[in-house]
Amino acid sequence: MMHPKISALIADDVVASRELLRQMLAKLGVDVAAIASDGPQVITKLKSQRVDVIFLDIDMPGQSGLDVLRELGASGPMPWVIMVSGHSTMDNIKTAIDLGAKGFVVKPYSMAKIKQVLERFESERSA
Amino acid sequence: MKTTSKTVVLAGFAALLVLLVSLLLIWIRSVSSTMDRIEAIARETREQELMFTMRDAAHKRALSLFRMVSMDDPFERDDEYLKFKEYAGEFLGARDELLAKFLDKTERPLWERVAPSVTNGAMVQNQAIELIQAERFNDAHRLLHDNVMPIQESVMVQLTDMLRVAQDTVQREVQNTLDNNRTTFIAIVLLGSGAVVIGALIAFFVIRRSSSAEFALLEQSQRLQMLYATISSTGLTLEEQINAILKKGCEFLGMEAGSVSRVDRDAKSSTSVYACSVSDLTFLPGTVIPLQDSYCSFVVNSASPVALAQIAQSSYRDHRSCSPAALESYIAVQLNVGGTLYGTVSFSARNPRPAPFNVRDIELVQLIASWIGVTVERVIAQQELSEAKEAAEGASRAKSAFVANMSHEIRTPLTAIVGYAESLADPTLTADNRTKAVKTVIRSGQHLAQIINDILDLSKIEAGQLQVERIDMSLAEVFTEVESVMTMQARDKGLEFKINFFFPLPEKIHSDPMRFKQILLNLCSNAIKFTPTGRVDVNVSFDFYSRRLLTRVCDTGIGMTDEEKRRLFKPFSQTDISNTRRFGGTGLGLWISQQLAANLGGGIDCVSEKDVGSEFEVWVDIGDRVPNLVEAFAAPTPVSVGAVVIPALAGYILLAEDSPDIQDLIAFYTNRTGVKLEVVDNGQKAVERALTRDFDLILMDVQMPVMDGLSATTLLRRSGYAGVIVSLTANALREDREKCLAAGANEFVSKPIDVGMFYKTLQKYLKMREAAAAPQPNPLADLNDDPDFKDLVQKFLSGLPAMLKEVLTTSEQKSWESLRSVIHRLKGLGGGFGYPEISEAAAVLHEELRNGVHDRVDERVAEIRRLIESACADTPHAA
Repeated sequence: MMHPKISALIADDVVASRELLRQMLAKLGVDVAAIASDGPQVITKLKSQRVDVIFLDIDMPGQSGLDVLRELGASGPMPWVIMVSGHSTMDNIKTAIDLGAKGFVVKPYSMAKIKQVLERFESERSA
Repeated sequence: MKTTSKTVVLAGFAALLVLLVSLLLIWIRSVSSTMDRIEAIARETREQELMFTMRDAAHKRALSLFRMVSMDDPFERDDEYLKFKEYAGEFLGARDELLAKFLDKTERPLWERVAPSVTNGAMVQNQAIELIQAERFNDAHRLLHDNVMPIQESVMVQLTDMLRVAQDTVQREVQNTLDNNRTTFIAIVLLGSGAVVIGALIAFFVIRRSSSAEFALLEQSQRLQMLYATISSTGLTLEEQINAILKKGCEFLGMEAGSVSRVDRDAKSSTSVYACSVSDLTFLPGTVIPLQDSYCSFVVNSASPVALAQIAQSSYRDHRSCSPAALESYIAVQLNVGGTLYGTVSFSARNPRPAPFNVRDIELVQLIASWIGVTVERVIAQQELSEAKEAAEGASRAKSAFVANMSHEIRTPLTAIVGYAESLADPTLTADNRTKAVKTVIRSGQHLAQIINDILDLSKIEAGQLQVERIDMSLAEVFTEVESVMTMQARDKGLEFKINFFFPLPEKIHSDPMRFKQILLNLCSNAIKFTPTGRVDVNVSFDFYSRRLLTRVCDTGIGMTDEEKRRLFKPFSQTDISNTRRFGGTGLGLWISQQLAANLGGGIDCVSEKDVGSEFEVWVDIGDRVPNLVEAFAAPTPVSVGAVVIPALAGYILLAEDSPDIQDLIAFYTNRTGVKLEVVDNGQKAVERALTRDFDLILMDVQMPVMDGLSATTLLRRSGYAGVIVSLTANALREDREKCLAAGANEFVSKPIDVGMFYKTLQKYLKMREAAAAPQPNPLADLNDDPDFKDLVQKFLSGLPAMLKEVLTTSEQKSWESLRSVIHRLKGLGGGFGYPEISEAAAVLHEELRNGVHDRVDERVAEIRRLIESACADTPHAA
């Protein structure tokens, strides 16, 4: 569906959520190049691998998604980060956007919404 | 004068310096020459000494020789011979020294004359010695007598001559020295006294000069202090201050009267503006004299001060000026106000002034003039200020009158609305009265809306903020709409109303349809209002040459007198108010229409005859493009007025609106269509909701507390929200519409809400109800067939009972952390697998646990349990 293939990293501490998202992304033709279950893992994985898009869960124990986002932003150019959250409070939304997140998706995942976000990435990438 | 005295002082100092330098040089020279002289004298003295020594030595040798001859004892003779040799040595020593160092040109020849004799003498003496030693005394005697003595005599004489020469030289030198010293002494005395005299002169000069400068400074400073005291005296008006200054000027300068004159070059006149006198010489303020008859002309033409202490002695004595006053002394400078020439400040007297005016006097007058210049500027500014104040007060009074009028105009319909609406609450009201009340309320409401629109238009026009559009306007459409509204009004009154097109006409013009219609409606409704019987015709034509569209509204009404016509276009003129009372309307319409027409590049004209009728003609500019002229208009599409079709739609709408009334109104509208409506009351909640749930459309009011609609829209777009956002705005201004679109809205709906427009907008974005699928489409519909996904769902469902057990256990044990953790998992999973309700319930409990709220845990857990059990029951694969 997407040419060339978009590569993504999924960060979520709940296994089943990760699995679900991986399946959905696979259906959309996205290559899930890496998965992480907490903040430090995200940073580590990103050191050794380049991805186009990161689906970053906010509610992770220890380092929250927002902290990870902050850290990513501080260390140079960021890949596209799409914050994932079970609920959308104004502070989270504002903070995420201010820190440079490109999208905000609320669980439950909606195929349509994820597709929309990826299409947006595609059009910006080819622009 | 100052420069010459300075030169004199400098010259004096220079001369002094020269004298002193020459004194020094003279003294140095005399000292050195004296030293030379003394050296010379010393040398000559030494020379003399040597010569003495030589003569002495020669003499003693000769004596010694003679003694030797008369000595019998040979030992005595030997002793004597030793002495003889000693004396010879002395002679030779002195001679050698003399020859080596001392002999000068005059003496050398003398010596050369002596030298041979000396040598001879020595030779002969030596011979004699030999004779004596040989004891040949007689021979020796004879030799001595014959040779030695004469030679010795001549030698002695010559040596003595030499000596004398030397002595003379010394004398001369001494005399020279004395002479020199005397000369030097005289020179020093002369030069010294000269220097002293010059020094004294200079000192005297300088002291005199500085003391006169001091005196002048002191005098000027005193004058200025007194002037300043006059200027800063409070309690005087500006005019009084000017007069006081003039008076002081007279006192300082010793003049009789001071005056300020304004010069008008074009009129060639000089007008006395302020005058103050210390005697009976008066210049009346306001007196105008021709410029050429006044001394002011000189000042003004030359732009430099004129100071005549004695006119009769000056070059101006033949000038005919101020002859009535017969002035004999006069001083004046140019007066500038605000940087431009105003006139002159002058002081005059009928007697000549004993001393001429000096520089400081002129400076004083200039100072006075510059101060007066500033003061006159202030006087002028004061006058202008009071005029402006009066004008502003006048305008303010007009505004207050306007507000009073408007207040009345608004309260009248408002009273009707509230009164009649209250009456509707009365259950005993008859149906007829009820209908009448409703009709009145509607009519008054419409009237009030019109008044408010007019007032807003008026304020916008006053503030210069009225904006008109320039878009394509179809004449057919506009006139059809006007016709449809006006025919009803006309028919109600039994009048005929017709629009007549005089082709060829442009199909479209470049103008503002809304405002053009407003003008037409105003003119037509006025025509209908003021026509009891007869007809109203609207004649539309196009003036090709001036490129104007002309619309003439002609009625057979009551007409106007010229007086009434004159007051016609002013807001709230007398005519308007009384007519407003009789005929209704807002009283502002015509004035606003005129302003609008002007903004559209045209205007309104009026012709009227009392009791016959009136014709109002409005013309507007058609724009720059070449118009497409047609001979007839196509039949316009019928405008459906009245009943609005309610569409049947399906979907979820999020309404963000803080006013409960509007919330209810929109809910009323949307419920009729079948869509589900969710309401939040500020932008922040709207953003949160919009990201949580899928809405088909968001209605976002622009003005809300906490976070307004524009910010919320912007934030949603920035967070990647791509859904439909429709702005609800009370502003119909173009820039506000643009702001909504710029923030990311798809479109906007303006308040008050036009129901038809509202439904049209909904229809654009929501699907028809019949075509809609299940109420909440499963976002994972496409995944349902996927085997992997099915496995996952399986896993999830089979894990549910275990999770439920964990929930129940931890909540019973009140281990909140563990409960929170399992609820967190549940939250993330539920919706992902098609059970959003579980996620939502879990989210609610999770939030409460996070905030430490534990009092509803049982309720929440029970709900979650119900949902989980129902989910497990639904699936055939549940364990």
